[in-house]
Amino acid sequence: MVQIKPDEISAILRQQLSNFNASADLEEVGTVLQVGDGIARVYGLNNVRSGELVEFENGVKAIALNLEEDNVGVVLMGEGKEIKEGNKVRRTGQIASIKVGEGLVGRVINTLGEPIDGKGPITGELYEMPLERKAPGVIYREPVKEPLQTGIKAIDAMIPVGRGQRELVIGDRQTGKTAICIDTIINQKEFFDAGKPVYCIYVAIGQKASTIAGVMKTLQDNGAMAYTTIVAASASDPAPQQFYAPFAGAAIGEFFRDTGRPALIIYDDLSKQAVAYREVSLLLRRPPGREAYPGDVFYLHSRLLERAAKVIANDAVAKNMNDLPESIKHLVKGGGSLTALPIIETQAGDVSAYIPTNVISITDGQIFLEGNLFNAGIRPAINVGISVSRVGGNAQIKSMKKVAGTLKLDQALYREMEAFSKFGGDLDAATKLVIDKGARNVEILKQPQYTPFAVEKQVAIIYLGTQGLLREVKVKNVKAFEEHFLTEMQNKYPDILADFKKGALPDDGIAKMVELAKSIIPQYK
Amino acid sequence: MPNPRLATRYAKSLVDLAKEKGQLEAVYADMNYLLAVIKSSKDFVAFLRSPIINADKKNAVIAAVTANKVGPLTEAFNQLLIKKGRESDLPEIAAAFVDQYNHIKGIHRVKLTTATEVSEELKKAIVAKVKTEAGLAEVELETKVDEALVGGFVLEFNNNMVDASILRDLKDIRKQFEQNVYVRNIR
Repeated sequence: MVQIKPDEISAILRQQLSNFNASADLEEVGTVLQVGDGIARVYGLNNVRSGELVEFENGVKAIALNLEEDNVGVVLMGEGKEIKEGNKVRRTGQIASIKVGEGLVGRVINTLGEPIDGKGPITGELYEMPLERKAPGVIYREPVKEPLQTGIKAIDAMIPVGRGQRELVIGDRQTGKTAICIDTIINQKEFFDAGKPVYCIYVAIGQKASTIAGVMKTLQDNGAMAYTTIVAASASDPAPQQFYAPFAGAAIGEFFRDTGRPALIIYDDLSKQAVAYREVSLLLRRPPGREAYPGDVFYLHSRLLERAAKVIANDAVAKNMNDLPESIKHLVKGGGSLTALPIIETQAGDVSAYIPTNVISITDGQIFLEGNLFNAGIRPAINVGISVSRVGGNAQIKSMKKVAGTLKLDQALYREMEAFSKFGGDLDAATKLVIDKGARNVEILKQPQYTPFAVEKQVAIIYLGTQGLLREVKVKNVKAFEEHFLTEMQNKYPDILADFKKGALPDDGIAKMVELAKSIIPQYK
Repeated sequence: MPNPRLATRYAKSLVDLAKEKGQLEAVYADMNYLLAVIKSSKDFVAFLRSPIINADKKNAVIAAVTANKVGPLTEAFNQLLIKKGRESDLPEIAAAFVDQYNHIKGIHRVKLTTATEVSEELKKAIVAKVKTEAGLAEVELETKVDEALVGGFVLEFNNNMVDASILRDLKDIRKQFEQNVYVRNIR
């Protein structure tokens, strides 16, 4: 830390004191009628607006959510113990917002933007970004066309995610939902090292603080904290902080998006956010609907996920974007994106519950994770049959698109045939071929945690799988072969891999690669 | 929990009836008397709010407190409150009545809180200032002394507040130091 001389400190103090504005302004106030359970009812505040920030005498902030005939319902963003009946509440005239800047990268903050990692205050210039902001309109957007590499073979090959897309990750507890998202963050290291970082924001909602600490440790160990911000609202935080946490995360993501940079945000998870919202709504006496969720729980998620967008690559148009906060107007650039990976936890695989169906219909596709696949050793436990990406091939590099084009169909056919083969008996040659290839592809798509694969390596190994070149490799040896083959590729033909990465599939390169594979295969028969 | 909607409704009924019978001033005086009793005796409020004491007893006590002090209309109103089981809301209703009376008469209540006693001239000066600055025609000043303010004053009217107390300044300065924006800039 910089040494601070005594005179510097007094200089600061003087500056702080001289800047202090001692004149009193006319303020609008109200009186607390009732306080408890994280909400307060206030009499007065005649002109308060919905979503406005109000402040109690002891400095606790709250957001006005319910404007009723004779009182205002506010949700407290801090501790309510000090607030008593009869206390004064004043309007601040601001809407709820968070201070965002480059200094947030690598930090852990709470919903209010305060650092909670013990590394001192957030440094650098900060810009005020509103928590609730309207998503960019149609003319400020561009179709999703650039891939967001997750580093997971099954996803990048069959359910590609593009920059600016919203792809739901859904599954029961303990099926690896968080693992997929963490791997995706870790895979962005490649871009960070190349100087084109995809800024990542991990929003933890209603999780155990120990789990959040674990995620942070994992990201740190893999060098991913250098471009990641964690927004944490743990299970012990008040419900309003939990349901506003994704909005705080989105505000951070929008800062990167609107300044022309790609960002990735993970909401872990939105079912807990809906539960927190339900709690607040019921306490505010809003009428409950299905599963006791309030009527606007769909809007809660849709307006949040709409904020994920690919911004048009034209600076002049982007500068006129709707609802731009004053603070960042001078920084706006086109071409940025915000990709969202919301997570939903289902109960016993029930995707027809209220919140899962809502979020499935909002997002541009979903990745289904299944417990029985997980237990059968297929990890990541992605059910390829019902997982889709509605953006599709536009979000893949050309080489991957060509190579993996048939993979999804192959695997669907394999699953059908596999059921037959279970009955035993002789199979005709064609069926056997399908089953052999499918079983090996399943092996290829398995992948350990925290080991994202670069896209060029994915192209190489999936080419071998889809072309049926691994027929002679024993199923249990596929993993070992893959590792050997990819190391050899890296050592002998880095230029071919570089071509794949660029999107090209040169015939001579393919021939060389196949030659190499054939020379290795005998060791794994 | 105080129930503002309920208080306004009961107060409105009393105001309307009093106006009709031409007894508005008398009832206003009664309500002020009740408010004075409520303000001076905490026990009386606790008694009104107690769910254990039965209605007959409450009726008898209220009758004893108000005997010969209030008019027949107020007496009848008190009995109505007891019959409806709303005697616990009497303090809010009385306050709401005064508010509505003030509204009819165009009087604005202004509350002045200071750290030390205020002289009459200063009060007059403040009333004059409030009248011109806020555009209020008729002003009724209520003063309160609160030593915690340290100095300065707090002026409240119509859900508005001007807080020019030293206490507020101290709080604001503390907040500014807690945020520590200057330290952040030199790091």
